[in-house]
Amino acid sequence: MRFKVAHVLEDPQANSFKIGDEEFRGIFEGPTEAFRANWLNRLQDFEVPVKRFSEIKTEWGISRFLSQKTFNNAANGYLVDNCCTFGAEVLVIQHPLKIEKSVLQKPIVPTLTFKLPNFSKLDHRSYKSHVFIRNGIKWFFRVDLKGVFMCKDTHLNIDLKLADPDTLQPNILEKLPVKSLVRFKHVSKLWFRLIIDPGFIDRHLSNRRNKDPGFVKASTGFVDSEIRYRKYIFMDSMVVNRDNAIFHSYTWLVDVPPDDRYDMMNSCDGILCFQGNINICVYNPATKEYRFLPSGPWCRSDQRLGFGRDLVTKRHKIVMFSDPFQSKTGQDHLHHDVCLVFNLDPNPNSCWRTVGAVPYKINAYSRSAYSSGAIYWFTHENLHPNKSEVIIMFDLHTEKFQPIPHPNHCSNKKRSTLQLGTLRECLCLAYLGPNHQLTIWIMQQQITWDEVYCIQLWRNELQDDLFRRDPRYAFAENKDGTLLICAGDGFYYYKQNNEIRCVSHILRQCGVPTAFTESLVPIYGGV
Amino acid sequence: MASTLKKIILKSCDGKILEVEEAVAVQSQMIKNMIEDDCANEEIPLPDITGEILSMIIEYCKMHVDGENNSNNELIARDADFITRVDLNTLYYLIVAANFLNVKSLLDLTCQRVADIIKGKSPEEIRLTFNIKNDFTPEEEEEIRKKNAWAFDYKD
Repeated sequence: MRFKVAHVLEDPQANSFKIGDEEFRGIFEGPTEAFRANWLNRLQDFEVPVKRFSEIKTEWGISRFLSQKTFNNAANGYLVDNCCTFGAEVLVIQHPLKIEKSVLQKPIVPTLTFKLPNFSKLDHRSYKSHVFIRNGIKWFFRVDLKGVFMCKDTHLNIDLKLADPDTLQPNILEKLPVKSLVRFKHVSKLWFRLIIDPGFIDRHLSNRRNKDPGFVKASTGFVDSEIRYRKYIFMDSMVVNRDNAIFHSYTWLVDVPPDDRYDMMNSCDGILCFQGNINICVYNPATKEYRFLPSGPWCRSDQRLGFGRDLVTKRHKIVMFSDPFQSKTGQDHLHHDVCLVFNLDPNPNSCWRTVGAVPYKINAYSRSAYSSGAIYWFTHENLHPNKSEVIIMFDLHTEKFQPIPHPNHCSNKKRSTLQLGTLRECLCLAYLGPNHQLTIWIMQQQITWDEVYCIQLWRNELQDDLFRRDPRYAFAENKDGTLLICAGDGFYYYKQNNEIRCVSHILRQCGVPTAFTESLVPIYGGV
Repeated sequence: MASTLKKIILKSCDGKILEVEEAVAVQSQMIKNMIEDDCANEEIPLPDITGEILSMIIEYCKMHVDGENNSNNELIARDADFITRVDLNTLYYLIVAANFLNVKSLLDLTCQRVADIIKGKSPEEIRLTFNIKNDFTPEEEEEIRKKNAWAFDYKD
């Protein structure tokens, strides 16, 4: 016996689909409580009986089978007085959902039932129930007496199906660029709800990550408008693949005090984070949404913010360091003692939260990197006494710091020649040697470092900015294995056969590049 | 060893019978599960898949089994060649079938192809293509359109 039930549940408060939080339970409506309990036990023997649904996975099956012999035996309770009844329940579940084991053990009262009387006399291959409407969604049962795709004549198939045949549309929508999706919010209420659903946004993002990455470079400037000086952020974005370069240039007008200067910090999940003298701003260039964060305690505007995502709560967080006393002199001012976190959540009154003292002398002016739920920084070369602690990890969920190992070869390298980054969704470390040699290591499973690239550049293209404090280049890999390096005003591609190509003078000279994947991720600001 | 290869028999809804090598058939996660459950010894009826669609899916799976040793770029080129021969209507049936048979790479390929076809369309064209009713009030639609006016610039 194959039993498949699909449930899409609704959130009564938001009055919208909650894709990803659907729950599935299918039972036979037997005559007794004992039968139900027994069936429930069987479900638990097979697989976890409660399944999470997504719009991709609209059907869940228990891919184990009952034989017709078991089914026909009245003692087993499936067929009683020649009448078979199928049941399923539709629950209304609020987000976020945690399924406890105890919930599963409660007796299930099906809200949808379908009775097939005179079971042994039925002569059609399949039967459809009438359409049920639960929570605004249409359902029906389909029973195939001779089986559908299992061994013919030996099994019976029951599905609870969505009467709406368009359940595959999300699979298509996930593959679309952000701009199309923003436009397609206008198609219908269902599409609108789907496109703003957090589960959909995450699957869309992971689909975009399967494409060739892009780079973004941003810098600030003024435009003399009629009224007053207004500040612009200029943005160049670029995707390079197979001899084909797609280049876009945006200008983003920001209404901020004209003496403020914005530097782009890191990007994560398609969101860019800018720090000015007065404000911190986050911007999603694909959806054009932006948000100014409330000013935190004093911190130097040239410090590098950390930006990433807590993979447990799924919220993005911004991390900065502050010196509450502003009292340090000399080199000591480069070190801050207190770590602050800002949660990028829908609450418009969110504010900076002190996480506590930082137990390591972190160099807050070196570029941080985000990878899988944690942000990484270098310790300060001169101030941090323990020379074996070069890289510090900040777990965005536990909000704790801890040192992690680094490649052996790097122990004696000057940190200004090193840069942290992300490659293949792992933390990586790049080193630019004195003879124009670029080496990149990837950290595997939080423990071991593997050297993945060692490239001989023609000249020191990556170090032509005299004023930078740290290396300022970004790198990413195309799906065909080409490594792309973005630095200065150009691009370098490196293929496995040691071929290096360069595209120059296409990007603005100033500004820090970052690898970038467009996303629908909301930042709860304005457009 | 060819003689020992196990064959899986598939039957389309219009009665076409196709014999497929197991290595090709297990590209479908659903058939793979059935083989593991020992339920694939007789012919497997596929209720919603026509013979034409089924042969296309088998052609695709065969191409991937045969091309296992080829380079990634070669497979991408073959996929592109396969999918550009398919019209939008057939694509829809391919998506339904790839979903049912659970052939993930084909589902990805077909959905991506539809996405590429529709990405430049207007909401009105989308409603026509998918037969969707506009259930926004004019006020609601105006409100969203105002917010996203930039997305209606079809330049790229």
